[in-house]
Amino acid sequence: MPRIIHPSKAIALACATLFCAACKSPSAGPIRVQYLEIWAPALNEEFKSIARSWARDTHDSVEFIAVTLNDLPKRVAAFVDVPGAANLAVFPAVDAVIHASALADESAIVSTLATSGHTPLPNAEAMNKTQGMWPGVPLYAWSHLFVWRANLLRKKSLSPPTRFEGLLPVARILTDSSNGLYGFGLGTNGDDDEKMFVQSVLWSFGGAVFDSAGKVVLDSPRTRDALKYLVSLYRSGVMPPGIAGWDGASNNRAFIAGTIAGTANSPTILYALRHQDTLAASDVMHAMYPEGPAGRHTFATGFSLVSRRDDPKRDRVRELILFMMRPDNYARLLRAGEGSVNPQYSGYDTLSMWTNPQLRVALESQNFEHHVGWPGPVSAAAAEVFQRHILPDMVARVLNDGFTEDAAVREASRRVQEVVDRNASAQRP
Amino acid sequence: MIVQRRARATWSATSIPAILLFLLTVAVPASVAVLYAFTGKRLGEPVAGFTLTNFSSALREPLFTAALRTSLRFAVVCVVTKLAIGYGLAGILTHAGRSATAALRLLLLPWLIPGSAACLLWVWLLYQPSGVLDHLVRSVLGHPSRDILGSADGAFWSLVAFNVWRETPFWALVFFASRKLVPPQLQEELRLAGTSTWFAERTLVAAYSAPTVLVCSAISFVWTFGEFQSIELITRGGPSNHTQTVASVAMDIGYAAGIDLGTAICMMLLTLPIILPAVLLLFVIAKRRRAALIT
Repeated sequence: MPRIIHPSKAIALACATLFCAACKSPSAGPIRVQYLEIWAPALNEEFKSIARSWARDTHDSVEFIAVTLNDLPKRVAAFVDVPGAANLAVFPAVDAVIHASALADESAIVSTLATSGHTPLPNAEAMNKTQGMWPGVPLYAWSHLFVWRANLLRKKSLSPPTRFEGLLPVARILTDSSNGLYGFGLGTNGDDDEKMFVQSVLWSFGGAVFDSAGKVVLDSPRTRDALKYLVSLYRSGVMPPGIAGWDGASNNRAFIAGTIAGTANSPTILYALRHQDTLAASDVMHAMYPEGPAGRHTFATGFSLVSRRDDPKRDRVRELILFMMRPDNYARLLRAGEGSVNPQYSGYDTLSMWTNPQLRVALESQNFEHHVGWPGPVSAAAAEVFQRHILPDMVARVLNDGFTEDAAVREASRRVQEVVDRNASAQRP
Repeated sequence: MIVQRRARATWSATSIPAILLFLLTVAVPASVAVLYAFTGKRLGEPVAGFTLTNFSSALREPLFTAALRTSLRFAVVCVVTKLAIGYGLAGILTHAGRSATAALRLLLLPWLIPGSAACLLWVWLLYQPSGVLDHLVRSVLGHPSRDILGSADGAFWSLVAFNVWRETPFWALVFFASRKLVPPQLQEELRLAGTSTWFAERTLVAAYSAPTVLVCSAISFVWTFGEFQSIELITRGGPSNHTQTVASVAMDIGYAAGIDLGTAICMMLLTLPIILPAVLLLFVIAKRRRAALIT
């Protein structure tokens, strides 16, 4: 029979091992970098490469933790709540603002970047700055655009609509349902593209979820106008069947498969096509969001570099951030993204890739982009309203459940108010 | 004395790791979760004082009541269907003889496929307009396309079908094994008395399988009530939140921007008054049935 170690000896050994591990200095060890794995592998690799260069130059060390978009909320929670989970992380800008109390103030780094001639863009400042501090260093953002099959537009001698009123006629001309082609396609099941689209339409029609003071103003005539427009678009027959069950990738798949001629998306489709070679990139056209009665408004998604304010490795992390945001390194990162992400600082729009008209659209779209909760401040409530797809649900209630526009708007407004009240009672920013 | 010491050492060596594992993976996380539910814990800050605010927030959540109804309906429909089909399959396998082994292997396939992969398979099956089922309906049968995942009933029954397809094989296997508990001499006596197979099934086999069926019902009810994966991957709670269950709403709130874990955990705790009595009742009946068999 094998010899069994006495339990008391085993427990003593385990305790000694744990004690030795705990005695290690908290400021020693590699910098753990939690980076976001986006759809551009080259950008992900360049991000790591820049960090490794810093480690080489300073005789330091870095470790990487890859986080996908789906895992991001949980990783954000872990970073904020668990000291040592990571030292540097890529956060959605809105999460950096919401959890600012746990994060280091990066105002000094942003000032340093500004003195080198690269000031944060107005939208970057709106997304990232709160109560006079920068809880994160703006890293990049991606735009939401209209994506069209240029070959189909050319065939029908059409141009992308510049106003929302023009969208339906263009989509109707492009639709050939007998051959399985539809003029426009976007899901109604609350995926990210639909969330951004509905929010942008609401703003473009003069409506909003919050006013500039953060008060709920969703229940308004302008919201009803925006809702009427969306319902008429979805019911017009220009969209393929099954959109009520679509997920976030369905419109991408449908576009690449040739089922839809247009959709609203970030520049991921063009990036994927250029690398997969399934469809000529010249057959894809980016266009800015059309204008509505209240002008052109669209949605911005920004990301920033954050670190914890109580991190014992704070000094080293600061050096790493400064290195990564050095103009030459930042330009490397943007070039690796091939236009799939936008810079957050002035002076980078002269990079050669922005001469490509398809990519230039995304860059110029920043002039019309707003953060979640606009015209109010970024807040936990605003972000939760967006993430829980309350606006798309409002549309779906009319389309799927036979609600009147009035009833749908009132229900959505009640849900938004409940979110605001709950976050207020928990004293979240 | 040496034997006793060795027995104690063996017990410690085998039990302590299991106890530690239980504490680390179940007891400690559950305790922390309950702590979050009853305190004003915010991310990045220490636990605050005792409060019931999270419970009132959970009850005020507009989607909570509907999600609770959906969870209950989903659990009851799935459990009843799985048990009926599983019990029937077990009966067929019992009388299948040698071919039972091969049948069992095929039967277990849905259960062996990783859950997320199985969910994606079903999405491709049901997807419109280019899903497999949609193609069959349109091109082969010549019927118009049906938006299954886009309608409230279609989405709900798709989730039920998925749950039954995936879990029935496991229960069929358990019931198949439970039928071996029937004493062979009793079966032989009934056969010699000239009773039909159906009579033996209704009386003898049902009596001996009852405790197992009841315990399985209880376990299946708990698992199905808390089902999250298939809802998140197949319907994402849609369309229009019609297939949101308590677990999916709690996940939405728990990991939305504010990361309101307290309210999310409270939602799950509020389902205990439904789950616990149901499970206890089934266990009590199972225990009584078993006691009746022994006497």
